[in-house]
Amino acid sequence: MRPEKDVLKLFRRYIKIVVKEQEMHRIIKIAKKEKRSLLETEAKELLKEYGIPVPDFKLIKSEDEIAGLAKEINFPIAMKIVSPDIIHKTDAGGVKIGLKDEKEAKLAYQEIIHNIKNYNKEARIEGVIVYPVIPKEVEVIVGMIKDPHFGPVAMFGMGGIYVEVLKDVSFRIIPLEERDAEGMITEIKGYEILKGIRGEPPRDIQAIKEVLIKVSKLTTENPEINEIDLNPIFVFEKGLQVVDARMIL
Amino acid sequence: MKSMENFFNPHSVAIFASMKKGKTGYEIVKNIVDGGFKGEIYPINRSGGEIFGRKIYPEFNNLDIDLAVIAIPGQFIPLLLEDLGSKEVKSVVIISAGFSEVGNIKEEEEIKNIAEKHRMRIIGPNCAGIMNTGCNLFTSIEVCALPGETAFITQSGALGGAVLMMAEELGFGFSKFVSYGNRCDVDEVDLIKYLEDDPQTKVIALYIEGLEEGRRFLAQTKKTVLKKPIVAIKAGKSKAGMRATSSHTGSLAGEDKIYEAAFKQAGILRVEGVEEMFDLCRGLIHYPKVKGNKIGVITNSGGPAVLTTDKLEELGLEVPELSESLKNVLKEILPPHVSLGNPFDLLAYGGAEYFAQVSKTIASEYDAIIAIFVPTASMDSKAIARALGKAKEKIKKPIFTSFMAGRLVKEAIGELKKYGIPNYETGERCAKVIQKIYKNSC
Repeated sequence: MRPEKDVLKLFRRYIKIVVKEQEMHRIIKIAKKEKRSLLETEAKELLKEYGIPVPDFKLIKSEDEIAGLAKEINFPIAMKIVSPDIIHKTDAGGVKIGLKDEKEAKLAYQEIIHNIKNYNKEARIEGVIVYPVIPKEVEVIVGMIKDPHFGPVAMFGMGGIYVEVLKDVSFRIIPLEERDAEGMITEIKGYEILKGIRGEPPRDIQAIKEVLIKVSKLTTENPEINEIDLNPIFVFEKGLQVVDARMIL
Repeated sequence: MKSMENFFNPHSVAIFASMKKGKTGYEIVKNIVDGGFKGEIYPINRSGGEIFGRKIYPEFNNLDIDLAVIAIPGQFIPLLLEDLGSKEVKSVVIISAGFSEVGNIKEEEEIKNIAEKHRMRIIGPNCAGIMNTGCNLFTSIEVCALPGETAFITQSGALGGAVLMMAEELGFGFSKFVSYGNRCDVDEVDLIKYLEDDPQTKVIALYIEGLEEGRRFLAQTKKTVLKKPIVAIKAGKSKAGMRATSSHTGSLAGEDKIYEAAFKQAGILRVEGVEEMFDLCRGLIHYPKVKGNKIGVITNSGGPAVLTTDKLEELGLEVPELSESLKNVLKEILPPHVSLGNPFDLLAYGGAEYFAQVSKTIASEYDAIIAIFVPTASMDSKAIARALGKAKEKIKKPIFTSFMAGRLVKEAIGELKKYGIPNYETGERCAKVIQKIYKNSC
């Protein structure tokens, strides 16, 4: 190791310590203490802070909180279990979609809690996240992963079958510049879909670009986060919404 | 950085190795002596005696050494490095193998520590050596490179040797050649940084298998490409290498995709293999940029021109028609049967004068010109090459040629080379090179 590299290394270590001690985000601090990754609600909270649009949501901790919910969240709604111990929420019976009123919501809540207890007795249950059902739209995915040699890397792709089957995704090393975000979007095959085909209107590509840049910023400022999945993101003619979010510490 | 400079422009070179015929040391001394290195050459071995008319020094206490090349068995290297270090030798190439590549991590760590202590720089171990054609320095076991303007840095010594042999066949030269082996100290980034300001190097070509410090590489190459292009072969396209991940993103990321991304961000031109690397470097040496995607094709034969325009269009380049006003100018110059479309097919009239005049006339409306020539009995290939060369000097737009083919046009290709026009065996290969340079110029 050369001298100048040593100095750099020390400096980096110092920066890391400073960031860790003084500026670790409170959400991350709590999760770290509890030795778990971020809950969906926490991940969405963080996204909101960085100006990344997420649908209105509320964490319900008991059945009683459902009364009067219609004043805060537009029905129909979706409900999803929030637990650090449940990764495959649908398999565990922890997801209910298309609930039309508070009565249906109450039943769904009971069912979810029941299912989860049956699925895993030990599972810690933080509550149930409630958000309005958003009509299906063009889906994209944004992610972040850490490479052992290049550090944090951002990913972009079309969601649904495009990512599952065709693996139509692009990557760039974080931090992203404007032109990196641009390149990530335009180089995938699905770009044609975003531009609008067969009479479909074009989607808000500028909004996607902004999400990529903001995820880059979020990653840089919160080095404790090791992986991010924003999947799916619904992209409209104007604006977008991150429907599901995972952040792994 | 004096130590980096000493690697490539030393006043004296000492070779520590067995000098017996057939041994590595013998080959290196032979290359250095035959290559015509002007500085001092010190073969060093306790045996003493002579090699290629040079004295073999049994010890080196009184010698002033700028560059040491070591090819002795690994276990003796630490002691020698300590000795060299105490004599202020700052630049060492270690050819010897048997270090981290075979799992001897501790041994490599040891030589690294010694080098650090003495502020000495090491290239290697387990490498094939280095060359600088600018001062006839060939401290390598490989065939001597011809002089040229491409610097080639390779992680694999064997591939480096093969590339040098292929280049020799092609008449392709190098400014510098570096096989850096296990990179216990000097790595790609140090070398790129040095070559960035090397006046003999116009293009930097890399063969890499894996980078240790990706972010440092990215930061350096982003700066370097502003001064000269970098071409890279990245071996190992497999998905392995990524650590276990639990996210969806992680399951989609593979090592190769990350490299692809990094190269794009840095503005590095990635090529699939050695042949493509040669093709691209030959283009870049003369034309680091192609500023637009409109290509004019001039030919004396229809078939090859159609293949070329097909390829150009497939690659997203345009082969547009000439404007009416310039068509009228051409009409005055050319015989009546010649088509004024693009490709400009001169038919059997395609002699030197027409090739030159059409190039000059159409240049203002195209970003690059491909001239295709298939020799006929009545045409002088060399004269056409010269005419295109002179036209190139006037029009200041890139001209690529495909003189087809083989020994029929060998002399003409030599002539094109004099004028700095890269020639390819097919127009399709011209198209590929133009497309890569154009995309990288945006």
